[in-house]
Amino acid sequence: MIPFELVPVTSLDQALSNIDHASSMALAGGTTMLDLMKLNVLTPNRLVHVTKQMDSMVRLVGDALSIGAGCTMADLADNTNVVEKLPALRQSLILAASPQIRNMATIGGNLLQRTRSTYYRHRDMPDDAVVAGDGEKKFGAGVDTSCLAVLGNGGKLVGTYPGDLAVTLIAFDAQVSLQSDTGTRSVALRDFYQEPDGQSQYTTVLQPHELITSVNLAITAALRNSLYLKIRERSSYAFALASTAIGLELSGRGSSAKIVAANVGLGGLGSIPWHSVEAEQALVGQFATDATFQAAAEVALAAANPPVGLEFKVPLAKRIVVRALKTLRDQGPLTDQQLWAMQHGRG
Amino acid sequence: MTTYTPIQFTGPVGRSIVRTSGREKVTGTATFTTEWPIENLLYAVAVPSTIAHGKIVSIDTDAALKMAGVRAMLTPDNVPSFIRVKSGAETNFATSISSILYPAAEQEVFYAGQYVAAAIAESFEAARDAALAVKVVYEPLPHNTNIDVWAQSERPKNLQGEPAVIEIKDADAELKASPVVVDNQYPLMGNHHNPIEPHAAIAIWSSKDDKPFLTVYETSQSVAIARLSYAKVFNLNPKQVRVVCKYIGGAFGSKGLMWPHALLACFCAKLTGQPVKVVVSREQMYGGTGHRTPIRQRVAIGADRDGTIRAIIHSGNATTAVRDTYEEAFTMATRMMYQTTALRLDQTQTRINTQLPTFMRAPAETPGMFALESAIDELAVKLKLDPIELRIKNEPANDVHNDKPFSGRLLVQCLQQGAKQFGWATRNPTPRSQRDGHWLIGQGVAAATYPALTMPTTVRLSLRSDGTAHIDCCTQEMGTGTATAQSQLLADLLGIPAERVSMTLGDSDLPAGGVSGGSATTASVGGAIRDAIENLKQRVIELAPADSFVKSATKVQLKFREGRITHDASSISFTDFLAATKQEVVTSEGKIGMSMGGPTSNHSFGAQFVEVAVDEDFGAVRLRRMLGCFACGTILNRRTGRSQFLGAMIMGIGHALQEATHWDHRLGRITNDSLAEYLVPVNADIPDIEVMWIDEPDFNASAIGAKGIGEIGITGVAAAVANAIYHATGKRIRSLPITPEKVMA
Repeated sequence: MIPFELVPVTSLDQALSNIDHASSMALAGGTTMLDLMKLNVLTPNRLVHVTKQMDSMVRLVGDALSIGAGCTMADLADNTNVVEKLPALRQSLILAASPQIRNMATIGGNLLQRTRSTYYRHRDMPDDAVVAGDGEKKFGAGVDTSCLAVLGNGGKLVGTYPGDLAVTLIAFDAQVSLQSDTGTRSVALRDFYQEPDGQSQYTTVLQPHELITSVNLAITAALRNSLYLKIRERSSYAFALASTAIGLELSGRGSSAKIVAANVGLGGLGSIPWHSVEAEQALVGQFATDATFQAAAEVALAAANPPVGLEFKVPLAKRIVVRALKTLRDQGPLTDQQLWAMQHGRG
Repeated sequence: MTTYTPIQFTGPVGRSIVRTSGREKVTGTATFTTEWPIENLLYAVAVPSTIAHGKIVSIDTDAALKMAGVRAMLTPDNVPSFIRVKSGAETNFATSISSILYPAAEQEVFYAGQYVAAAIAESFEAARDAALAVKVVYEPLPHNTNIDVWAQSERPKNLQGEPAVIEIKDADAELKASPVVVDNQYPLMGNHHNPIEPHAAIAIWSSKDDKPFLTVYETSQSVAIARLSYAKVFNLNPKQVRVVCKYIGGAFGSKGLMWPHALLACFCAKLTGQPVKVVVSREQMYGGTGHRTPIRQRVAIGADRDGTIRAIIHSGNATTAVRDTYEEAFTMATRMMYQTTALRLDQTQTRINTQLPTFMRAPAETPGMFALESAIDELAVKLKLDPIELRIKNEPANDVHNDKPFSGRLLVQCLQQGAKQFGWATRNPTPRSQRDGHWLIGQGVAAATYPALTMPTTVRLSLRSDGTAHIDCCTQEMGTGTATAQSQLLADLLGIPAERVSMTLGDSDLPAGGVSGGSATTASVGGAIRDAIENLKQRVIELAPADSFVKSATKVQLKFREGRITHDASSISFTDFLAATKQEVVTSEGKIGMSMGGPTSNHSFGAQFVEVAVDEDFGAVRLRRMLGCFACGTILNRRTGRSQFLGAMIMGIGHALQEATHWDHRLGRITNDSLAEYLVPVNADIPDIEVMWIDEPDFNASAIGAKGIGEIGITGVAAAVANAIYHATGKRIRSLPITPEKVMA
């Protein structure tokens, strides 16, 4: 960590004029920013503490939820509307990180968390992307691929987007409001992240002097009947090996039901939070049969290109998609208690 | 007839007493190594090598030296003079020096993480930033960090006192002739200890009686040996050195040796003439300090159809460092676990470009028992025998290797009593026979074992005129409650309440204790206390007035009971005796030696039972229940004893399912050097755990009947988990850790 200046600000405008996302960066909960500064991965000269200038309210506006970017993960997870109506959103929050981190981390900061790739996080190691093209060896041979992307890697060794919340928000087509010192704009989260090109870390459309100020999420029937399914190496406090945010609006019951609408997001797999439009297209208009679900899973992973050691993630991802779809068809959304059982080896 | 005369414990021994350090720790008054308030303290931060092997061409410290608050840079050009003392491994641990590669003193690096320089500054932050500004140019040389590259394979010289190859009859021929055979490979990844308290040292050079005097506060499991080591390195009389370690925030073996940061602190303090503190960062703990070697094992067992074992072959390869040697005796338990006609144990090791591997909780037994106890389970499956029955059938009369009788072998009792409590009898032995929703359920069992050792230890007892007693011993408080347990023991032997006994430890000014390793502290300190009690009787006789009944008694006749000195019908309270003899305090010393070459084969035993849930679609494994039943002789304190068993069993879950050091072998670097990426169990991973034990003192293995409990609790856990996964799924997993990709159907 290099010495830095903490810039006090009294308004959002003042914060925006000071933040260029390079030498002068925004500090909110600090759960990613300070980690990466300690590792000398991010080395801003100035930090602008924006939390107090950010809206932290969660509001129901018509059929949409408006989430202030300064809201913490914990507060959003416990919001009454989220608890009662938005299972995948709540689950992608409470299955992430630890209570301590969720109490500090803001929604805006959460969306911007960086890859866990060891090559990104060690400045004294060569970038993974640089060492990728090693002649005739298999893709990723010799590399620690454990945090590398299987989807959206462009044939290169690039890091995975590690978060959970963004997977749900991508699946359900959330919009982010961006405010700059010259005005505001709304961008679909699906267009917000840009796959990395020859480097470990994704980029976003966020401009200098621009911040995420709120997230807007339409509450659909599919979102009400949704599930966030996360597989990890331990029962808590671990990043996803693979995860999926799935929503299903059905007309009818069981496998004879018709799929009216579907949302599919994938986590722990892509270089960015992954939206599978292919899987959604394979589901909508079909009967909710096991075969339909399997077909959707297949197309969701059709473009997968796993580096050596991550081949298992492809079948794993397909299986969680199928399991999530079956669960929503047969059981509907899970309660917290059922989610706990799912994490702890109870039926 | 037992080796030691049995003692009947009638007082505080065995009681559930809250450890005296507990309150100090939770109220923040316990002083850990980095917390000592030292005046004029400087901070040093090491510069670790970023390559695995190469020559140092240049170290550019110009930019670093110009930074604010920076006092000096330590490099091979200005490192103070010192003597290149042999390492612990080269001297049978007469020193605790981990490596002959001295910090900031070498022209060549042999592993990534080797300290090539250090920044010394007025604040930790300034030192840290300056260390980052040092530019080291290397001439890289070829490296190997991969155990599976066999080019440099060799045989270890000495595996816990025995050769690398042990043979009884022709095991290959016997295996071939056996009608039922299992023969498999068990590869294990390496592990790092990850205690929450990082390694650290504060070095202070001063003078005393016109001679240099070195004080070191060090996170150490072997304070007395550390003192001798510093004395040798700096050519001092041991009296010119004091080492202090009052509390340890976890070690698990990683603080047994003196790692380079401690000498680095001494060098920096000598260079600057001021006290210097060095704290190893979490990242630096993956290279700056030791680890458990990765191991490749083969276990082959041949048996008759009735389950009688005819041949056991346990062989394999581990790693050690290029310039330093650590020999992991992973086949050790197989010397004595099961009866067999023929036995072959055969180990090799490969020198790779890493920091030295070292002891990690139950070195030898944790990896070795995973392979052996998995193989026993596989044999039981093949024989269609219950795995507990198979073990009982092959219970040896004597230690198979050295033919000595066991000091106390209660493995069968542990298996049977544990099985009863766990409900083993109701288990359907057929794999895939139990489900709970999407989860397949299985139960597994494995044996646990660990040797009963003592380390050379001396103690001083003080009987005070106010009726209290005190123990002085330079042993270490590992977090286990040593002071509390030993106070209970002395209170019991004197017949006074435990709260009237106290203990001081962790300071080399005290009588020398041994390394707190090998689960030996309880038996070693306790054994020395028992010896000191006998010497105290002698001292009391010497001091007694001529007309006293005490004076006319012999040491054997004299007893300490209920706080009184007694002989037949006569007795006098300790306080009255001290008043009568005008003594404020009566002291005695006692000692115990290294436990080697006794008439019995000394080991603890246990049985581990686990129930797992496996979602084989995802490869997810969750523990649902665990039970450990142990036989470790006398348990001095049931509360702290239970905690030690629990902690070790939990560590076993990590060993089974999560813990793995990852490498980029092209770079020769460890890649998951953080608690975020090196996974250990979290609370949510830990199921209901039941701990029970067979309370039977072992006075063959131990002067106080206690065999030590620090490590046995982790042994066998990984095998029990793997065996339970097999029972749940029908899939045998032979490599650790058992991650989802291995379990996915």
